[in-house]
Amino acid sequence: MGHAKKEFIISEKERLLEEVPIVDEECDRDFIKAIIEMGGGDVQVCLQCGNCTGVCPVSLKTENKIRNIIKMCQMGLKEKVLSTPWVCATCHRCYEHCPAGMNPAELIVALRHIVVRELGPPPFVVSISNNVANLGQAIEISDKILDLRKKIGLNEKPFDERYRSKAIMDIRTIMRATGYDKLIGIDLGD
Amino acid sequence: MNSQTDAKVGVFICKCGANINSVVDCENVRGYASQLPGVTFSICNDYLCSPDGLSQMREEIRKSGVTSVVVAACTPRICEKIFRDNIEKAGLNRNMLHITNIREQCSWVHANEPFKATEKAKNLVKMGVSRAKTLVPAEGVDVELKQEVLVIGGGVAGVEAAYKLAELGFKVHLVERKPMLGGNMAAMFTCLLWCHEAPGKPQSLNFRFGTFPACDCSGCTIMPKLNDVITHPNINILLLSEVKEIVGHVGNFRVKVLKKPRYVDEKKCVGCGNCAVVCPVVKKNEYDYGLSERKAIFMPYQQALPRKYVIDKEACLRLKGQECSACLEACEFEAPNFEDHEQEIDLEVGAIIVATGFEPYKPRIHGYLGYQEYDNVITIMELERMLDKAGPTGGIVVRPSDRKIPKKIAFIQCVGSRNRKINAGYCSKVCCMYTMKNAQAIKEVHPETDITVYYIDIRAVGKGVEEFFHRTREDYGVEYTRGRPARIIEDKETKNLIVRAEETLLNKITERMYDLVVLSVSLVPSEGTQELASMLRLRTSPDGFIQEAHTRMKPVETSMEGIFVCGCAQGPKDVPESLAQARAAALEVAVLLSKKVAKAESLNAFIETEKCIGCGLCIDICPYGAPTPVMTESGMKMKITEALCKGCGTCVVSCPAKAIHARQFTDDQIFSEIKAALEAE
Repeated sequence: MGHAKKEFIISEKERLLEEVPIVDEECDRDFIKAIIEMGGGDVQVCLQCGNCTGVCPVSLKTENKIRNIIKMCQMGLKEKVLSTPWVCATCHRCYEHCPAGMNPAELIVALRHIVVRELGPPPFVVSISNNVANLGQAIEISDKILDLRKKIGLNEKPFDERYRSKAIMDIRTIMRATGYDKLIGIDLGD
Repeated sequence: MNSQTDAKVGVFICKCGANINSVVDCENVRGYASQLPGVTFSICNDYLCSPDGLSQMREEIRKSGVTSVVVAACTPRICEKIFRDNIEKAGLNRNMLHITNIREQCSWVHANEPFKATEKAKNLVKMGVSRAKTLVPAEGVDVELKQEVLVIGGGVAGVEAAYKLAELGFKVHLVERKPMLGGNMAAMFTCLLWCHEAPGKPQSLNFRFGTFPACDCSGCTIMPKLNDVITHPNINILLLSEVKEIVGHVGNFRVKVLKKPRYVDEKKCVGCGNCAVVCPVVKKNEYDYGLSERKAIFMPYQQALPRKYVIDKEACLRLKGQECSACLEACEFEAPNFEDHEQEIDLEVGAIIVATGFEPYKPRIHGYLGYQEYDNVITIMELERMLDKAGPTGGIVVRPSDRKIPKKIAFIQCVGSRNRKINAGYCSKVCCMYTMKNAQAIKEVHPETDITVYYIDIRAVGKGVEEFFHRTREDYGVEYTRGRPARIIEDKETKNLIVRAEETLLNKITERMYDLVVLSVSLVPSEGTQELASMLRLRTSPDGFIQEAHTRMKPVETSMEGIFVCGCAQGPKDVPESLAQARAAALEVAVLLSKKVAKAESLNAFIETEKCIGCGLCIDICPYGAPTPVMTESGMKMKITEALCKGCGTCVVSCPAKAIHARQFTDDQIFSEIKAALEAE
């Protein structure tokens, strides 16, 4: 008896993992208009040549390559675009190479705007924004670092408190004036 | 001039089926028109431009004896000539017609407001009637049509047009900038009949690759044609020549051609090549795209026709003032002539055919596709020259870096075409096919070569072309990869090239190594097309090619009467299409010139000589070059050549002395319209 042949029958479990066809109801043709209004450029000019993906420095790190995202936008697959992860360094290399004269990087920026407006900001954006509003910098300095600084004989704080408090006031003013605080949901007090 | 009182006007209103009638109440307009002073009758017709409508129109004109006619229908651009011809047939002067556009100006633009559209149509008809009463009969001038033709460009299209016209008995002047005829097609001479000498054993000896889809050798097909042209008694070939100046109008163009010196007597030279053997100067041959070397006295490529040598003025030692007469000593026939000089040739022709063709796009993006940066990135035209048995590499494709035969070749499509950043983003139409052809040719000579074609879309339309595409993939095993290469990186040691692209159908990024990369470059208008177009007062389309008069209905006519366009000067196209268009252009010229004398439309400007102050403003402003200064007893005066004038009226408004008038659009006539428009009901 040789090895048992692998059966080419899809099991119930595998069937559940099968891809589901995209149906008409998922296609929201108004999505293109929303993207254009957000400054995403004309999505329709893309002819799917794949040049943007080829030059993209992060396209190897993501399943959803920039060309796929543009195609999804063209089809109006709003839910799919907004719910799947995409990575973009906003380096604008795709814009330099695009033969159709489109700007895929601007499309990504527009999508970011749409996501924040529709689904609210991602948690890390909220925490970073809070840090900026309260500390004047994106990342909080951990106790470990402060101890280390003390140990090797540096000033405990790497900045001058007087200037920092002024900078924080300025940042808060900008946030209020632009409505950023309300959009992200940061409580600035008063 | 008719006095306003005894003018009798007939009004014809066209319903244009439902096109006008569904919005404008034509019967209402008819009733209104019949009440207008001076109107003898008004009639509605379903389709006025149909044979029935026209014959009804003629009958009514004859029966009623009207003196002028108002037609309320569509745009004069479409129907003016038909109606003018028709009233002429009915016995009226063709000038006694006014067209009121109630389709474009009423029913089309005010489709949602039928009442207002009808009122507007009534007003327009009233204005038309008022002007029709002031019209005066006029005869167009007779223009004698010169029975000679100028063909600019000696490529396959120009040669074909010249030959057909010469056969019809017209004297043809064929002007070509290069020292040989045949243009780009002759440079694609790819006869692989002898390819058994090539290192890789070919699959068949009968394959010849010059043009697609039949893969016949372009040299073998164009040479008999060139020979016919060279020996034809009716064709005057002007090589190394450029058109410098053109004045005149349809039937009578005066052309100045500058013929540059060849420094070799064309009559004496037999093309033996003894001179080139002894010439001490060596330069890169631009006709082989720098792949081969040539002497200062040279033949552009071996099969160039006519087989006459030419001396490069920049390179020749003798012409630079040094002592050298090697070629002269070597020549049995004393053909080299260092005293040769530029000539200015004046021609008088009745019509012009522009066939200036194309040139391959030169990729300029350094570091992206690496052309002229990496040795082994070449364009398709360089490949064509390599595949030429009589070309720089003897029919074998080699890597320019080390002259080795490449094992893996990548073709990259759409270089310079379908790119809005470079030009208007047009598709060059032939690149898909010439890539297939060359891929097949390479596979014939070296069957073991791996060929990949990177493409965006394959646009293989036309007779036999889809089958040609099948053959490339199925019989020759060429791989097609969908995705535009993002960049090419060179391996510094081996000079191999890494092509990075997305395989869009797999959704994966690929980085594949090739020995040679061939860029399938687009076709761009040949150098100087823009200058020539402005000299001939032709329009060019956004892509830089010469614009035909009407995209669908007038494919070879241009915006200038008497000037025609064919071949790649009008846009990228393949050889059969160029030939078809060349023959069409030749036919148009023949139809035009066969009349010997033509009547120009009487829509033109005229000058009241006594009022003219000779300021010359009209000369500067006229886009057609119609006004010319003449010396009279009372000083400098302007004169308008009626056959040149298109009646645009620009000079009329520019004239400070109010000396120029537009026939059919005099102040009286226009004011009568305005007055009617402002009149209270």
